[in-house]
Amino acid sequence: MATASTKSKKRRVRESTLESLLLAFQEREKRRYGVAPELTLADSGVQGFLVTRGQRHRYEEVLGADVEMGVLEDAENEATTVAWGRVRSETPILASPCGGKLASTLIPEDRPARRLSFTAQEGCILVQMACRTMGWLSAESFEEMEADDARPLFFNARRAIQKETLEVTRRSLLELDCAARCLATKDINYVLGGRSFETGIDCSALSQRLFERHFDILLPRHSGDQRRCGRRILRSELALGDLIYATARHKKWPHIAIVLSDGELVHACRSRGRIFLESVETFLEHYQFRGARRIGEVR
Amino acid sequence: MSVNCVICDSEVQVEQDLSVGEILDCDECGVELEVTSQAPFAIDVFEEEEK
Repeated sequence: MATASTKSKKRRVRESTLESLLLAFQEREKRRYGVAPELTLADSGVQGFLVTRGQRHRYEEVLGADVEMGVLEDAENEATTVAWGRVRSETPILASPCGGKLASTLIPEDRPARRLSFTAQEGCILVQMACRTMGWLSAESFEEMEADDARPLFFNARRAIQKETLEVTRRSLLELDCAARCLATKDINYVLGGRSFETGIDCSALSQRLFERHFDILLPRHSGDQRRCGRRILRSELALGDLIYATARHKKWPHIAIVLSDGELVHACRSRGRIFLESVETFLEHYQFRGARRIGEVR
Repeated sequence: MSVNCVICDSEVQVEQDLSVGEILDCDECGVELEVTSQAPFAIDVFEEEEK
């Protein structure tokens, strides 16, 4: 049975005041880091502290389980943009302006990100990537660009959607298969929060980057959000390009893997520390199957 | 087929071929639920652990 604390932690809060969110956030940061970020709101358009569902888990650690967070469902209407920009080199996005965990990284080839209307001291700004992930970024690394150039790239991305598949070509599936196998032969490190084939990548970033490159489909950043995309399929239906959502056997760490041809899959494997190719069968000896999704489909 | 959410008690529609361990969401309260048994069909709260 669920405990009261579980109930409190898991509830979805629909209404909250921005002031209480900011105050709680500042108090928590002061306890944790000895510094309370002087957060300000540049515009009253933002309602609550917005996160994606997958991000909520990480932000709860920073904010505290009792702090109310709104789950961002609509990137276009629920946040206020202050500026648009890109980075010149891979740049960490943190879960806290005071130095929290790595939420993700921005890389130069990413679609433009938008700066949201929260600001913090010490040159930290809150940014949102096109995949809707948010986090704190060093202001000096954010190179602003024209909104007219950035907005279409951000908003017009072909995003994976829940319960439906998007069209992909047979050729793109085969290209994904080849590219993933190639990556597995290289010594690419596993880095939690990383998104780079040079400096390191995690499981959900691997699927995100491969899907965008080969299918022109933008997946959410976190495995917990990716598992809600596309349509559910049975384990017996697994085919090239499908995603398997799983958790490690010893810990309920969320994990995502991409199914390839010949009953194999590729994943950025934390325990092995790199991108790894293995059979679906072997994979599921080490991971608990939690579901499979088909994101793209040849029609 | 439907079951009741163990948190908010609202009705959650489930597919009959869900296997043990699969995750589903309650649309009402947003909680993640794990299939713990197929026969009889049972669910409980799923809580992933932080990496």
